[in-house]
Amino acid sequence: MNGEPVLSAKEFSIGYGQGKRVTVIAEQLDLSLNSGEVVCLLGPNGVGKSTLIRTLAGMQPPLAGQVTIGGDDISRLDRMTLAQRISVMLTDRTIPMMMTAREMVSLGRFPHTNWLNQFSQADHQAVENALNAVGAAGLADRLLSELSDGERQKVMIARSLAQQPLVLMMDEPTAFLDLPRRIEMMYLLKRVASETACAVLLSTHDLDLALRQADQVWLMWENGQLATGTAAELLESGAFNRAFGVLFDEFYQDNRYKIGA
Amino acid sequence: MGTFTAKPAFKSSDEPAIARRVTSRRVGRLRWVLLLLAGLLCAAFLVSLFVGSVSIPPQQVMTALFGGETTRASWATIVQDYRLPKALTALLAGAGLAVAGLLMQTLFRNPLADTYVLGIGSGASLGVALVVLTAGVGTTTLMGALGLAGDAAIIVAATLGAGAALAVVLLVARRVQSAPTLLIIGLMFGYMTSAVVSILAHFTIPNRLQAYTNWTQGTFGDVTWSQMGLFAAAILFGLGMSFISGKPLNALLMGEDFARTLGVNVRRARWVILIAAAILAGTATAFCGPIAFLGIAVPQICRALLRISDHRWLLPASALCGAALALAADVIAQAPGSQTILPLNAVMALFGAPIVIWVILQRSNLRSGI
Repeated sequence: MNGEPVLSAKEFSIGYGQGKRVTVIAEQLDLSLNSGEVVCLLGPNGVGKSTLIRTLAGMQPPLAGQVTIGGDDISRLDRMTLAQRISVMLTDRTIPMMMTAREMVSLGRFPHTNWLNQFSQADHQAVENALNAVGAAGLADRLLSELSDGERQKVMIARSLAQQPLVLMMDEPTAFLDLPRRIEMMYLLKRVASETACAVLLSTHDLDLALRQADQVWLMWENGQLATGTAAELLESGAFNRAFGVLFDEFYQDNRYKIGA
Repeated sequence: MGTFTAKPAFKSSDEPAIARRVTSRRVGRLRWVLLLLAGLLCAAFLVSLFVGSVSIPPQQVMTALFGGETTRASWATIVQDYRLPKALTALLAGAGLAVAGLLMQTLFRNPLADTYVLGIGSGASLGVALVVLTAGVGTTTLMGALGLAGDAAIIVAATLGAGAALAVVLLVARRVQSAPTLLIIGLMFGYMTSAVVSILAHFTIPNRLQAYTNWTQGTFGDVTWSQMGLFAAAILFGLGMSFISGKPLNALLMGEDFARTLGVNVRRARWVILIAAAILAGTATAFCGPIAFLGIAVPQICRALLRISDHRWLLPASALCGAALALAADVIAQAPGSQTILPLNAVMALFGAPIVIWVILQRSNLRSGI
């Protein structure tokens, strides 16, 4: 079950604009995400990590190539079917004042319910399961505005899980968390990915955690260059040195660290 | 290094049962609040029939309502042709403006947005000003003189004006994310509109200007029985459009990108919501004048009462609460026991402004969502 490719992109180019004013961010990418695996997308600011995530999620069209999820071209899937397969967590921190954690998680059932948003027993069950999976069952009836950043982020992950997607994509989910919460978050994502056979793609600036925990690393740097592999492979090939312009391999081969074991 | 292990708070066999219990307790509370609002609405409706600047004995009001002969013929006329249509108008306009305010607050994710503050009221005013000040017959009672064709023209003008203003605000809103900025732009749009109205007023005859000025003070008393059908149909249509948008509105609470990732057709949802708000605000403004504060205050009151952000509850609650408050404001404006009638918008501002101040004081940060 785990380890099978669920999302793949072939000869795929990303960027934005139309006609003559096209800005290409990266070209000729071949990428895939496997079920149950956590992929960390790393790279300096402004190289297009968010654009890559938005394009893979079908939120904006690729300049060339196609993305397939569960065997179907995402550009051919209707909105609801796409939302049943890909869940996206964005960085917007604005939250409604009077929304409880359970209501937020229930929004994840949106692509599965009718226009009146009527919940079946299965929908209720999916919401409770998602809350339990992230350890937020005790927060279910609290207002989001009363939760800490870490608790709220757990609830947001539960919302994505309630959507029961094949792929969960997250743009910097650890950005506003302190170190213990970031560690907790990575462990949570690893466990959730393997338990639900969901593929997880997250962008992060947390090199250390990504190198230790990610099943795969996508390293993106200027001029649309992208290297993929395990953390050890990328350190070996010197990709990190090229991406960040510092002597990463020396730093990480220091005896204090064991990477990608 | 902290390892994270999830401890399920409930044994898995208990999960659905507990979820149902919690949900049903909450739903029970929500039903009580809605019933309470409905009760208040009924009470306000009855009070507005029984109380007015002319004092009529209650049993005579009952007689008039059921079509009987009253001791004085004028009492029957007052109840049947003045108080009853006025109460119905207040009910419909109040519900419409409150729901339009709720739609705007969710769409702009701004607790202080409503059709009035964002310049939609100004747009409707501009539309009506163009019709009243440049065309039609000059009289002091606007609706009466223009007849049904005139009504249709005013509704179309107010709706188009409201729609145009809304489109401008929306274009700006796509560039400007900051809520206070958007409100200031709406305010400036209002100034620009009143400037155009001033220029038009300069070239019109005094009677038409008087008619327009009366219209801007707001009243629920100008809708006659012959106009009620059109007015009610437009408001009910707008309410219907709003009520079918409950599901996308819930997703839009978290922003348009979020809603898109949940499979919402955001473009279509935004148009349905904007058109519904324009019809509601445009119609209410055309028939009753630009009524202030209901649109901002009522959704806030309802969120505080229900402690929920789910639009399947907020939409009916706002409609009921808006209708009840509009009736209450109208009763106060009649200043029972005195011969004077206060301007409706003065009453609205006296009660609405403190609520808006309370809302601002409740949040240190206006970007914290609605």
